[in-house]
Amino acid sequence: MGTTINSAYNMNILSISSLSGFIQILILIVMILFVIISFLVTRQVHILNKTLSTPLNIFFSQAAFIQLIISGVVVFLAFISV
Amino acid sequence: MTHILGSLVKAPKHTSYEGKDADENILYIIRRSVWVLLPPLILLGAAVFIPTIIPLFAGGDITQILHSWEVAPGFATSVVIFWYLGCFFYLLQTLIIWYFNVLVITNKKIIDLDVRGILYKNTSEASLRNVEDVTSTVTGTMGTVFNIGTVSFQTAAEEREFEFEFVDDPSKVRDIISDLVMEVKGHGHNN
Repeated sequence: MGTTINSAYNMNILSISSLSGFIQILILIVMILFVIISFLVTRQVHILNKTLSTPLNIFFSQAAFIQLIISGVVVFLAFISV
Repeated sequence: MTHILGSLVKAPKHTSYEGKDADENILYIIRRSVWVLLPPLILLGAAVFIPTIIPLFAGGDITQILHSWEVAPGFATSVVIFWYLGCFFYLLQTLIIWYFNVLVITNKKIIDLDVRGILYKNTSEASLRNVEDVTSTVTGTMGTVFNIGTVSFQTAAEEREFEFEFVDDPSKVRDIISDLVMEVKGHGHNN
């Protein structure tokens, strides 16, 4: 039992400490930050649309929303494929 | 140019701003010149082609290169999609900053909406009656070639200066503001 846990622990350590694992985790963190920034953009557009209302405001709202959704989906796909 | 995407939009339709009075009409919306979008768009064009240029030098598809680093296939595809998402984000931010950085001129006041990045928005306004000393400046090679410059004016009520940069035909904008100020002050004297 103890040997199994130890070997599993060692395998995890090895996979995390390997370069590819490190790169994947780093990219995943950047992707998650991107989703947070995308959410901030949707809020920014919402506030700006209230400040200056023009016929093109809907374009920015939809673009920001689509970006948030797609980035969320991409991060999810990346997360399950790591 | 009176198009909605133009640098100088005269009497824009279906346009309003936060805090607009019922008897207030928007006469002009002044944006930065479309030429300011050129450098970011060139950078964006280069960024879009990076995933297609890399294989020419590396000798393989970008996903194959990532596979050779023992990255999971699904993850490699996600990285490529993410790159294009980043490009789209950059384009959207550039357009948002350009579109919402405006000088709104109404029959009562001038509103300067200043947007820099995601986390900064500044709105200043000055009554047309308080506007003094409107100045236009054209400097530099690009400014002279494309007739792009800065329009600035001071207000009497406060010791502060409004400045709007990269405006198309700054002399015309200065003239418009000066005429409006004279008109408002003229009416003020008549009353």
